[in-house]
Amino acid sequence: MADTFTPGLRARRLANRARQVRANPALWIGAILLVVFGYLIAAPMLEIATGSARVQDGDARRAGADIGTWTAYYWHRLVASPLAETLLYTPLRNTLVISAVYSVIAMVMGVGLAFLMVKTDLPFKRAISVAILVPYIVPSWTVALAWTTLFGNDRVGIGAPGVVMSLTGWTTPDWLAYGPVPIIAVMAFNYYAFSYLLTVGALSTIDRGLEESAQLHGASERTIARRITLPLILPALGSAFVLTFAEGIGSFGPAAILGIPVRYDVLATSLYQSAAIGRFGEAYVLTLLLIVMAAVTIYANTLLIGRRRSFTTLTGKGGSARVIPLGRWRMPLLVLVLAFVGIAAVLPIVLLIWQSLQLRIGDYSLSNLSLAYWIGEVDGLRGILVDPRVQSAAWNSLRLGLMVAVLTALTGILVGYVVVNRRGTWLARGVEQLAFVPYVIPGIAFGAIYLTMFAQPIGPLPSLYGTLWILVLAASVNRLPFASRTGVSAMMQISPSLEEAATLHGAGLGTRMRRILLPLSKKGFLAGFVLSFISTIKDLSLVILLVTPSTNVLTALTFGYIELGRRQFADAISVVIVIIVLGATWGVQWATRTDPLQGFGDTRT
Amino acid sequence: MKRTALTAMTLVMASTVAGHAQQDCETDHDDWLRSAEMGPYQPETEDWDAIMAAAQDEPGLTIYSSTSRVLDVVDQMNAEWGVEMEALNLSTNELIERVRREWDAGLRNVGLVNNGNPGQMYEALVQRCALVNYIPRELQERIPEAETLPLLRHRYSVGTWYYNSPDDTVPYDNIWDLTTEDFRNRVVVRDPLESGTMMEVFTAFVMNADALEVLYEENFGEPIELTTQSAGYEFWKRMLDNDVRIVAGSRDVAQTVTEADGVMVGLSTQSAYRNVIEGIYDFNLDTEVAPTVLTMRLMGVGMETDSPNQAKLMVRHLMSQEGGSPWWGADFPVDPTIEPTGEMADLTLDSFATLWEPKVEDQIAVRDEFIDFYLANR
Repeated sequence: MADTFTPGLRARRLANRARQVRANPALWIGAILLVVFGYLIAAPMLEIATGSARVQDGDARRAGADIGTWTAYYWHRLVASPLAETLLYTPLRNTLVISAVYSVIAMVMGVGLAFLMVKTDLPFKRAISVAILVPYIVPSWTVALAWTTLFGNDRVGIGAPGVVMSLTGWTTPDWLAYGPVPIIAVMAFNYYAFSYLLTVGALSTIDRGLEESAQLHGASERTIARRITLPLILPALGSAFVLTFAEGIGSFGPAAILGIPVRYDVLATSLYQSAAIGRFGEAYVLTLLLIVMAAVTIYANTLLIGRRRSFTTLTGKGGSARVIPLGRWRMPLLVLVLAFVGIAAVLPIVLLIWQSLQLRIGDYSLSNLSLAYWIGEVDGLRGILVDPRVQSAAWNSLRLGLMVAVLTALTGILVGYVVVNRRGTWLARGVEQLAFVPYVIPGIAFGAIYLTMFAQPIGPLPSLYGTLWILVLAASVNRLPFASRTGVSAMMQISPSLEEAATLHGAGLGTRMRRILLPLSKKGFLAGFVLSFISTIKDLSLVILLVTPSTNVLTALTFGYIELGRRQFADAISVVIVIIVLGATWGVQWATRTDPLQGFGDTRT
Repeated sequence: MKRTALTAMTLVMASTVAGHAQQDCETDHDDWLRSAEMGPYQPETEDWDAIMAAAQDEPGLTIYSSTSRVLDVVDQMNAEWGVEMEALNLSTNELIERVRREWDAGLRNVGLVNNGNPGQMYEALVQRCALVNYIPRELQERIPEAETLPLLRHRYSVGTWYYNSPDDTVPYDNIWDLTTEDFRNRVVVRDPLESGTMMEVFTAFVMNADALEVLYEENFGEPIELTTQSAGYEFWKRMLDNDVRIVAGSRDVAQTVTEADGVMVGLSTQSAYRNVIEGIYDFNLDTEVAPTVLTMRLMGVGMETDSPNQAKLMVRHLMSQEGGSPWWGADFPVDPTIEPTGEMADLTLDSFATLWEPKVEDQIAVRDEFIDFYLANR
């Protein structure tokens, strides 16, 4: 502390610091990231926390206090009032049950498939591996729509009978048409890809020597699986469960479509409804609860897998895994897997197309088929392919997807650069941890925060409400945890000596980025890019509170049609979204000869 | 019951409700009102040629509307007047929330609003000074003042009951029949949480609890035993206990009633009946038995808009025979000189035997409590 009083020494130290900062771009890039993240991530959290404890606009009467004053009104209402059961506890119980049950089912599906694909000699692996990931690409609310098309009955909701009821005359029971069972089924089919990819990653990196030596010592396949393979992949399984669970807590689409008609609420739909009727105080409390739940889950994950967040990699030994011959089980298992892929990947899309062609929903006769909802006009509304509103929404979706993909992929690389170069410093830890925070904020909550934050001009920024930029910002920050994981692992693979050599030869940061860092991290960059594009285009929960007519995107348009009861339009747009997303994925795959989805294991924390 | 009698009763109350806020807003925005010639500065006779001329130099009006039909009108008038207006179609609740947030953020985007939910429009927007009530002088002579408060009413609609029955007669004699076992899961309503207009209709039952009490005794021959605050809440409590179907969209109601095997009753707006005339849906409108609720769409000019003259032109046009033609017929004009046209011209407000008109101040008073009740019981 003595040197604090020695002006000369202090000035020299400052000058040194300045030189250091200039010479080391990681320092000032890190500082900038820290400020930006603090603004875009930490500030909103604070906003929500204070918002839940102050009287919101329009609530002066029911809260019995002036707008803006501190109040326990909202917390009391949700936690201890007679309405607490309806507003909080029932949705909370439902959320926990749904997340727990669907996570287990998704795990069983994902792990089983991963085992078959990596450890056995199942035929047609390559083709199947492509199809297995399709459900992850298809938006979950699309699958929920398809479910009602399949199992709807004439008693619940709009009362249009589904395919099963129309063809067999069997009135499907209400529990199969709407409520927790279909929500769980739809979510399991949608998210088994998590456990599948994480398990594939873990299985393919197992040193085959371990298993082979056990075999040499006379261990049976079952013993090997139980004593060697399973313990080795256990952390990955735990991690997959936790991440699947966390994803389920904030999931909105399936619960909105399959739950609301039978008044089966989960936290996400409860939050949406609060916001929709202008009750933002309650919405903030629910948001905080969702954040806390997700944070606890993620903390459990880090406990499970130790401190190594990026512990799965899919590189390297994939092809060298030991293969178990299936023998006479080969064909039956193939049929089973194909049937599964058919149900999970193909059936929902076929159903959506079929329903979009029905003039009147629920009438499955040939004479009822029509292209009116695609290229015609129904009740004053133009078919989706000839409706300028849909065209502008499609354009917005594409622009949004691309802007978010570019922004997050670049930010991810920058985060990676800072974290790898300043490893062990508080700066690296701060940037990395802040970038991870959005993972625990559910999409719908994110929308609510940004709605409040950016409705008002902040400093030099004008009000972003009603512009596409608010969507770009929200979606980018939402994708940041994945992008920064990708960025960090990409940067880890680049030896610092390359950059040092370039620096010695006088290359500035721009040149080093352009000539060394970006080319070398191309694969990770691309994976992050495609995944961001996909999740942004198909995301519903994030955008539902942020879009306005001029910034409408396809997903929100779909939800608007469902709200109006114009299902066929919604189905048709869903089909278009699936085509865009599949097209983008396969396009990148073809152009780069890499499978961007295989980068998935890396990007999930 | 006649509409005019009812509106006369609300006159006194409505003027006091609107009066206070209006005065503060007029002081705060005196300069703009003076330059726009609105509020206290609206001239005794308006020179529409001058307004048209002034409109040519304005940047372009932004209209927020809960009806998509405004979009077509705007396209048409842009061509005719040589101006650049734009319109956005938002749901009732979203529209109010958006104008409120824009106003609080200091944005003066919106120039004209056409929306339902008078209670919220008054409380969230008029009291905030975000909207100013503009009534062309020529209309002030024809429309009773009560129907211009807190904002000029563009048109009326009603929340009413549909039915589908084997013999095409109303399948109930009294609204309370719908709470009996015969109608279990046989009534479909639009979710009031999704639709501000439906919230108006639902809460009207609470405001007319006395009438419902009388109807109950007529039907069951004994006074009602309450488990809730009033016969209005009691009605919805029993409806919900009777497995009423709650759907999101107005077309969902029409679809469910049309597709039903046997008796089905729905509650939504009468304008869906147009689809029956067009042959898309098939159901009957109950104008005789169950009470019908009057709802309204209001128009207000955005305070401090940069295109006040275009706003004036648009208000005048939308209220006219020609400019309002997309609505006259399915909805009911406020201006008594407008002739209903189109498919549903025969149906007027006088067609409905019992018409309840909710008061704005009651809507504000009842809304929060009703939402809580609905959340707890649905």
